[in-house]
Amino acid sequence: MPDIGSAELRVLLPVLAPLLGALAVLLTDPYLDKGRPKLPLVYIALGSLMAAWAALGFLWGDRVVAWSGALAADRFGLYLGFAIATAAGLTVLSSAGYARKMGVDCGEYYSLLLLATAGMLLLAMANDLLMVFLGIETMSIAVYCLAGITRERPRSVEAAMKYFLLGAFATGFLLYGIALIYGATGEVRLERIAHHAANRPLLLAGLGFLLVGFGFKVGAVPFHMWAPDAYEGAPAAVTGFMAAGVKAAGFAAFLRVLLTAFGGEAAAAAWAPALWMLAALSMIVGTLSALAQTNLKRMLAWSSVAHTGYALVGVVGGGGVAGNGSAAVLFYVLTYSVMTLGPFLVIALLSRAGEEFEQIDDLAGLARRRPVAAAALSLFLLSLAGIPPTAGFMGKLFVFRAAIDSGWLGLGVIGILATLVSVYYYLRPIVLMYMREPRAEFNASEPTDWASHFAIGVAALALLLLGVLPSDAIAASLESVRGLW
Amino acid sequence: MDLTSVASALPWIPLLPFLGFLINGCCGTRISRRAAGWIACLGPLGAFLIAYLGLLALAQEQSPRAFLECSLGDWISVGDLVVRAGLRLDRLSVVMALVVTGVGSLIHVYSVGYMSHDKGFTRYFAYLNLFLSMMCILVLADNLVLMFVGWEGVGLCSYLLIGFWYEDPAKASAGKKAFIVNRIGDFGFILGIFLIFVTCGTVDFAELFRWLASAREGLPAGVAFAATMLLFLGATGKSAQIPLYVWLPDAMAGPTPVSALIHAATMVTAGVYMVARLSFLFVLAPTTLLVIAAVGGLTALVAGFYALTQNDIKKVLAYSTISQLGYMFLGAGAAAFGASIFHLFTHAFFKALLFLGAGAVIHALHDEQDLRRMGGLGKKLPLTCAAMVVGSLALAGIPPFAGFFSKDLILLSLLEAAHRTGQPVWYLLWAMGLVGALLTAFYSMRLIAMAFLGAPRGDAEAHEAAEDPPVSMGAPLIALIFCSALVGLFSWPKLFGGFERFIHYLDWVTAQVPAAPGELGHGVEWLNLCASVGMGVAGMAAAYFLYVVAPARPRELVRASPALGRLYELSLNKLYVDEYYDRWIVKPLQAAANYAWEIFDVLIVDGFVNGVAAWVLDLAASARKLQTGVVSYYAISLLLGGIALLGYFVLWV
Repeated sequence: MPDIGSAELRVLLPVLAPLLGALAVLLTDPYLDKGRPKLPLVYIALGSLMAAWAALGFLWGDRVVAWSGALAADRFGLYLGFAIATAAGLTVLSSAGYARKMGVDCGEYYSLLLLATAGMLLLAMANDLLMVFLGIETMSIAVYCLAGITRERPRSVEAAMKYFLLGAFATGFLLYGIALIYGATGEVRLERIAHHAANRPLLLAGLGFLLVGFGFKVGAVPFHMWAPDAYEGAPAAVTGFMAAGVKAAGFAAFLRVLLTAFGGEAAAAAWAPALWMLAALSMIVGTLSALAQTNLKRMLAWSSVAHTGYALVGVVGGGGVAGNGSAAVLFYVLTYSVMTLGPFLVIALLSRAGEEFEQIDDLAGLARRRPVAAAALSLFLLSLAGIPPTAGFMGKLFVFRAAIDSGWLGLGVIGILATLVSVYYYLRPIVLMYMREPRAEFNASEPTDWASHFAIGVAALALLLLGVLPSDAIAASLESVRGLW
Repeated sequence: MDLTSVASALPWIPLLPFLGFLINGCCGTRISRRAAGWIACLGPLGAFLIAYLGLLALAQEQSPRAFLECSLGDWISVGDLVVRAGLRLDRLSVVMALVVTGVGSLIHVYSVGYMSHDKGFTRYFAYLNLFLSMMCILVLADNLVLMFVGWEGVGLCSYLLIGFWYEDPAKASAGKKAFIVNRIGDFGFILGIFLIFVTCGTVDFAELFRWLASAREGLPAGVAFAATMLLFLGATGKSAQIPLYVWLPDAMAGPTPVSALIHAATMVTAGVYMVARLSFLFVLAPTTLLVIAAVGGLTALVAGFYALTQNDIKKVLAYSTISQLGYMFLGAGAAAFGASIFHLFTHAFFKALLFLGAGAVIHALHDEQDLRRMGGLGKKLPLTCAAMVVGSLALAGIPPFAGFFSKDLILLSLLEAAHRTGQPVWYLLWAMGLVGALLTAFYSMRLIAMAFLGAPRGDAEAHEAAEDPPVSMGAPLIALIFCSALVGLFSWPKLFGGFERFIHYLDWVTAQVPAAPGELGHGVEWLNLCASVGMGVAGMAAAYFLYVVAPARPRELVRASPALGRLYELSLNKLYVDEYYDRWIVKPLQAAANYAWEIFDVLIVDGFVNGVAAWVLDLAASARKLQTGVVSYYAISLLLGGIALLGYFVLWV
């Protein structure tokens, strides 16, 4: 029985904050008027997320391991923890108006959002395989429900169902992988697994199953099939949260398991070619499929598959803890989570009551009617395309360079080619917004949704800052990777 | 007063005008013109006050090398290249900052009246504020890269303001011409920065200075020559020297206050400032210094020659600016950087005055710029006339106006250089400077005579209606009249028992070359002084005679002597340099570009790109078919992927 000292509680703080927030939301909800906007819930959610932020900042420093080694508060986990908490906060800000438009302005919505955040933060700090599993499930089940929360929309329900079924399937793989690894080594703690020789078939088979489970969560080809349907069907604010938060948390755990438990040279030599294949397939399939889309959310779903591929390029070219690749992945996922959240915030802003704003053609002439939204969306898309001076450019530069420096030239070339092709589908909405006459009517008459505008502004500013002055974030990512041991 | 507090206020010098740019640029359409004008003028004024506080703070310091510094943190950090963005105010940059923000403030105020009827009022002030902000960055930068940011920023603003009336294609293309010609120079500048970084490993001025002082074997002479020549190429672009001066006359297409601020007083002097800033590097390359002096001398002469016959009042002033910039480079080439900066300083006042006066004339005559249709305006526009006369006297180097002191110092420095190096070529350059002074005096007087004296030649109605400008335009004129008359006193010559305070103020921040044994005698100084004043008086007298006393004489002279007629044609057509450039550079480039476009771009590149794009889109359409929407199908994909991974791990590894 571990001694539940202050270290134990400290480490838990970032997870506890949204968890308590979720409970508070559920307890407050019944006391609120049915017909009026439920602003107190938004305040509670924001407050608990800010507390989580503060807790992350408070823990930033030396590595603290607690709960018998199950949780590690180190810079590695906290780095993406910031991205997760920020993404959740921006989602809540944008939800204040959006949830009302979609008729889901209820306690369940915010509490699920906070529960998912708690799961993600747990996942980012998980230091043994059981905790990884616990984090993934806490996060996933909440997100499944969120995807289907607009119950009247059939596509939302379909998305939730598909995501849940396939997710359950993938979790099976993950759990089986954990079981095999435990069988091979008798360990679930990551750093202890590393002590065992990596060349045993049982252990490697376990690793293979783990890759399936993680591959599903981060949406790598061929485990990506759920993404387009789920992204398209889920309400826009939730999709943004899924794309940013789930991926950031997934990559945090994925990378930690690979670097800690399978970071030895022999093990790395075993998984690198497999991930090479996943990365190449994700970039190619994601990019090509995005080209043909007419639905903005679906296009962004495929784009997120392609971006998983780019991040995996950094994982392959990681060069272990000494190399820059792993740090590049952290930086990449950080920037990606902001720039993929952005477009969904804009979609949420532009959506009308019960009706999502999601057809690419509807963007025609948007710059004339909603200049701020159009400018922000353009910035996000340019960043996704990797065009300087946005953060997307620095992120891509960093991962591709890491891959090429460590000898994976082919992967770097595929990545650059995919980026080139992707410019086509990222620029098309911009062309439509700025160079075509408006086709659909926009809801210009509604009162300005300041919270949403604020969230979009924060995301845009963050992208520009990370693009122009990336040194601090890059330095922090390097420290994070070095701090793993 | 506390020195450190001023240092931390340094960023506000560029920031205040930048805020003005943001406000006027973003919400210019929503605020009144009055508010926009106030906002635009307050930024530069605030910046001037901070710069003035900086001057006071510097005066408290014992060491002449003292400087105020404000670090803005690491800006670029890639491999060995670490660029710290920082602002530094030392004696050199404080002089520049005061000129830029001081003259800039006056011109902002003047513009409120001048542009009052323009529909692009707020856009104009947004650009003007952005310019001032960029210029302050250029001046205060503590390293070459940040300086380059300002350098490019002012280039952009110059382009925006030259083409301010963009509906007129001629004006828009003048903007493009300025931008493109400057690119050639900027290319040299940036190559120079690369060369310096590769050789010395730093782009910071102070570190560069230390490196040069401490490096055991020093900078190889070849590298010093190449680097300084590349930097000077940048200077010839921005400061309109041969061979890149052709953009400046066309730049007069912009509003007249812009010509005053950007294309006379401040931006075009950036090249001179850069040479002075890096003087410790330039003195290591004596050949470059000689080239600078030669280019400057030639430019002073040639541009003065052009100015003799121009009929557009702004074109006369434009060539005069080019010519005066030539003088500044003459001084810099003779390693008299202090004298060069002093001429920059005085020139900023009297040339701004001349341009603003010309603007008042143009304003009074409703956009009439042709000198041939002016005349007799002296009585109608007394204030404007006074402004132009004082400006012209200063320009012509007549004592005790400002231009006399600075031009005299530059000419004297050439004699000193001849004495120091023993190279007779400096005497030739001195003679060129003197002839240039003669030309300067002649065209200055010609301008006054044609515009203000004699009988009115233009539209009688317009002449009747002409009146002096309103207060907002008149007040800056008066301020500049006083400055142009008096700022020369900052450097009272040694010859008259003065101390040359301005020059010595800059002693420790610009490089000094060891003086030759033995001083130039007072006799030589007197000779120089008499020659330069004599040239000025002679030139003005000749012009007065030809254009006032006997206005018919110029035509008779030309008719009598075909050689003179030919000379007149050459001057009027500016030696056909624009035509040569067009024929030998622009046209061949256009032909090559057309060829490349038709054959290479349309056939090969477009064909290839479109072909690939069509192929990728086909591929995309088939990729889309894989995504059927059926869950069991997805699950099978997942399963197959899992089996493949497992197979790889178990069987392969």
